[in-house]
Amino acid sequence: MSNKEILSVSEGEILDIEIEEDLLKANRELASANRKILDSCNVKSINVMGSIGSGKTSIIQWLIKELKNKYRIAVIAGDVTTDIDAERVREAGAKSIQINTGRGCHLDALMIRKAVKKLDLKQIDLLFIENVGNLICPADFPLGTHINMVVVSVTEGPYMIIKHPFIVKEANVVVINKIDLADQMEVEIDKLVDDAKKINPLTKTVATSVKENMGLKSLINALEL
Amino acid sequence: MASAILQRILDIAEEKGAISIKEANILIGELTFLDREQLAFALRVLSKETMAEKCKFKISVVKAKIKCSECGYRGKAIYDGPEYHTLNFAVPLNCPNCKGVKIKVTEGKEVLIRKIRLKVNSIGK
Ligand SMILES: Nc1nc2c(ncn2[C@@H]2O[C@H](COP(=O)(O)OP(=O)(O)OP(=O)(O)O)[C@@H](O)[C@H]2O)c(=O)[nH]1
Ligand SMILES: [Mg+2]
Ligand SMILES: [Zn+2]
Repeated sequence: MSNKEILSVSEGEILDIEIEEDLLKANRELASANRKILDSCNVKSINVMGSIGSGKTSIIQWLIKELKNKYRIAVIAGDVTTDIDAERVREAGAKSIQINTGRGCHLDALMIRKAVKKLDLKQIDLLFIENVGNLICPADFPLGTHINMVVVSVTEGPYMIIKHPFIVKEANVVVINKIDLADQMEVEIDKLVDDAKKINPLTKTVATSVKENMGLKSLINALEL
Repeated sequence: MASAILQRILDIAEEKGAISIKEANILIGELTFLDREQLAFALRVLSKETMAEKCKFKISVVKAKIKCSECGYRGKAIYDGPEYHTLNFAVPLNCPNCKGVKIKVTEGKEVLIRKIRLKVNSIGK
């Protein structure tokens, strides 16, 4: 009998915990706290979302090179495992912090809050946050940024925008990148722009090619930088 | 989304000194457009080699409810049509009573972790 008892004890006890916690709401609250911190230090922040390989890092590098004499720039780079992107933006002339999300497929407001603590916000005017390459999950997790920018590229085919209405709906700016390859890919840029406007009439759209240096001025205008 | 849910559950379990997670009750709003089966599958895959490896994920879906500020209606929402999912996504839900659009979604957008059942090491108590 006592033997049995010892056995059940070493096997552990069952504990039920009531949580009733809304993940999305908790994230939204943290996001607005982030925004307050950024505002109090006069930092303008941009959440750069988009599919894998669409050109998020290339565009951030491009903007850094153009704007580094005008603003003090920092980048928070989200990636599943590597710090390649953080290194690339550092080379372009910005401070950078890497967040590795491991199995996570998006950044969330808590990660940003922790990363922001490592930055001296008083020394920064402009903050880019490169989200994990994914057109689905980041839409549900606002970070508290002033601008949400979504980068898609023509190499992803003609339906990339229409298939991802949720993220487009959250976007202030939609960038259609790699237009140097549009003919080759047989993708009509006007059609992609139309799709974005139908989903979100308020969004601004910009067509760019980092490779051919096209659309940089329009992008800077759209971001009001 | 699955990874965020799992991470939160693992964090709570760790806080409580659990050795494993037996069961988790999750509630998702229908307006999140998360697919129950897909979410359950993702949770199972992601939880491999974690404390939640053998966890039973119980997921339920809650229907959208709205409050209309024009006529005061409270209750179930109706969609604009099948296109709500795609192009007309930007069009808000309508009030079924007065067809107004000045509505507030009161339920249906949440991803709620309701309850978890943990196995804790009683020696540690
Ligand atoms: N042809 C062409 N290639 C481009 C353009 N912009 C970026 N690329 C290339 O596309 C590839 C991916 O670019 P990245 O900037 O690393 O894309 P990313 O979105 O940051 O990728 P992840 O962070 O891995 O999701 C690189 O090889 C770039 O050189 C463009 O305008 N035209
Ligand atoms: Mg990148
Ligand atoms: Zn009404």
